[in-house]
Amino acid sequence: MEPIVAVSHLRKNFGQVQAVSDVSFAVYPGEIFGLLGPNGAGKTTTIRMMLDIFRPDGGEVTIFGGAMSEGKKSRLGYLPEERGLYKNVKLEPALLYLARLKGLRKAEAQHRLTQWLHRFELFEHRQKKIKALSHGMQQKAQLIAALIHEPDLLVIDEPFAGLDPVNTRLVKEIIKEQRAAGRAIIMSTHQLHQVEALCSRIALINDGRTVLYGEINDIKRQFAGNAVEVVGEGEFGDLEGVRSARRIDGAWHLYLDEHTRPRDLLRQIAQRDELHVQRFEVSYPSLDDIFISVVSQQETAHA
Amino acid sequence: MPEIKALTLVARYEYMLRVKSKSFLGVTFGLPLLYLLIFGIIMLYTGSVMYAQIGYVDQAHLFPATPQMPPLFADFPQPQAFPDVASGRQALEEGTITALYVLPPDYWQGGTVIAYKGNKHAIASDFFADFIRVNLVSSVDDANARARLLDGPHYVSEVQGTDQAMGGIHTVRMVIALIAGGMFYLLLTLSGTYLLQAVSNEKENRTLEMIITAISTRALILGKMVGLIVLSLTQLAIWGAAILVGGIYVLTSPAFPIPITLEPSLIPWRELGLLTAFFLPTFLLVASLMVALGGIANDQRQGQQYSGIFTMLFFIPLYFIAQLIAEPNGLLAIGLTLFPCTSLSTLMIRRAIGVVPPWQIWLSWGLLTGTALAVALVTPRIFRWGMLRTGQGLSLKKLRLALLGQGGRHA
Repeated sequence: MEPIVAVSHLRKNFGQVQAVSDVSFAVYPGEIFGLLGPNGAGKTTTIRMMLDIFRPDGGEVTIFGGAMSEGKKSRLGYLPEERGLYKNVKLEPALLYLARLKGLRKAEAQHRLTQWLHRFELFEHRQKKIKALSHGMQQKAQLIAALIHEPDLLVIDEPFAGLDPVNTRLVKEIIKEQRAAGRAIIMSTHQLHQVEALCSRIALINDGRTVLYGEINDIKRQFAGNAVEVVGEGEFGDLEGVRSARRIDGAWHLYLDEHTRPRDLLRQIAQRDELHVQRFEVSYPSLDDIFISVVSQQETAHA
Repeated sequence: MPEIKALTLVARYEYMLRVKSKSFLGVTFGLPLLYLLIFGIIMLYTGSVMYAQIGYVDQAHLFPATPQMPPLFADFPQPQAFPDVASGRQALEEGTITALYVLPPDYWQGGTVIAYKGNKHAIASDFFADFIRVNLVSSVDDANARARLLDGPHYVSEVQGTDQAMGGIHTVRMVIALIAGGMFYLLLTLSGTYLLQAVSNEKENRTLEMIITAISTRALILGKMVGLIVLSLTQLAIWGAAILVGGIYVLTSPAFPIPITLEPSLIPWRELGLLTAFFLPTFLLVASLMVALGGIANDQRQGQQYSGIFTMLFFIPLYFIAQLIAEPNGLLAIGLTLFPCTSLSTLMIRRAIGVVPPWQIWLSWGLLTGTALAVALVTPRIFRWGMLRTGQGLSLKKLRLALLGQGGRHA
């Protein structure tokens, strides 16, 4: 299957600052792809290069089978990191204008907008100026602007920011619907549990380069050997070879360094009388754990 | 989406957004109404002064039994003659007249007139001077001689080395051209201000990323330019209509120094053509500068501060207007004609008072157009770079990087 978008060895400098040094990934129709990374890792710059907002210094972007063109822009939906709508304009005309810029005819734009406004419970507020809307409402309005023209590629940066649990659930439903309709979605967020719930594949960018890329399950398996879950009595966090430890619901989640295997840890525990084990199992780490592990490992390496 | 369609959408949106805004309606209709109000108050006041009755005592026996009224003051009440100063002063004290003029017996020797004035005497002396003049020349038999005595000469200056002449109907054309030039300048200022506001708003609202993933930067900028120049034209059309009505009234008034009838030959096509030829690149230059400044500035206030510096450049000829009039072909005049920011207004001033050699016009237009195109070419790059760096300070180093294409992609 041809990818909707593929970026290959992207590189971008701003003066002396290297924002992106080597980022590659591909996103296919009908998938939700997670673009992850700590603050300042180069995610937004990568997205901007992908969408032709910035020109890369090196590497290549292929979108809808070729280079970006004006004609392809109507197939893109974008919820940028820097949220922005015309604050002094009423909600409905502002969204109609944005929909029309995406190539929708007036009647069609109006029809679809009415449906979306109802769905996001913004219909009653359509004649209010945007600045009079709450942060969450503005967030939903911006999502409408990204979705209304039914784009083949939807790029959403922190789609759940500012939303309450009810609206978060609604947005998740909508994202799933978009996937079911065969669209490609690139989601950048720090809410990794949402990534786990929605995405099939991810790319983790750190320090301007792709450090993890692939199926979430494969990545978890790849990191599984380095984490164990222990239920028992005693202080398990200070065992040799444990890089970090967290207690969740009474269980110890221990993340091991690359030289320590689970059986080495089990051997240590057996030798210490003060530790009593009720359960010991090799665990699949959460994305959260993997994220922290990879990023902190790189930070240590840099230090 | 085709670029022209995107441009049209942006232009229409910008126009409709602002034309319905309270601030636009307030300025567009409020300003003429305010002027009308002020003018009305002044007219009411001066009218009451102008139409006040004056009196005179003619001890020099200058006036005939039925004195003639000066044409400029034909609507004034006929001055009242008093047999002696005492009765005149009594009328002045009683308020039946507002000023009393006494022509003493030795008026013919020295021309001295003694004036007794009440509270309202604003232009009574001008009127009485004309009143004396008209009745003095009435004894001259030759009508032409009378007219020449009253009107004075009409100067027509032949300009050395050209087929152009100054004065007479040419002056009227130049007045019309100057008014048109003023309107063009106003259009430049208005469009520039609106454009700066529109771009600053785009930045303050942080909408650029969304917009340029829908349409090209060029379509966005050009759309804004088109929409806002049409907006400025709307405003000018409303103001211009008022000026036109007033202008026609003044030009065709019998009181106008050069009696004329309005006809197509009065329209200074050559001047208007020249103005248009210079206006278009000047507008492109101003608009591009405003877009770039709006992109660089963090907010509207900062944008206005930056634009103030550039606006001053465009108004330099007005600061040196005395020197330009004194030496319309001097070094300063030539320099300002060739400098792109000042060429339009300098040319207007120089053409109004003399002749500008064609080579200067062509060179000036070439320099202006070249500069405008160069600025317009780099503007989208600065605009995109500036728009994506909200809240950051401006540095020349960063600006240089943007111009070299290292800060963002151009359209």
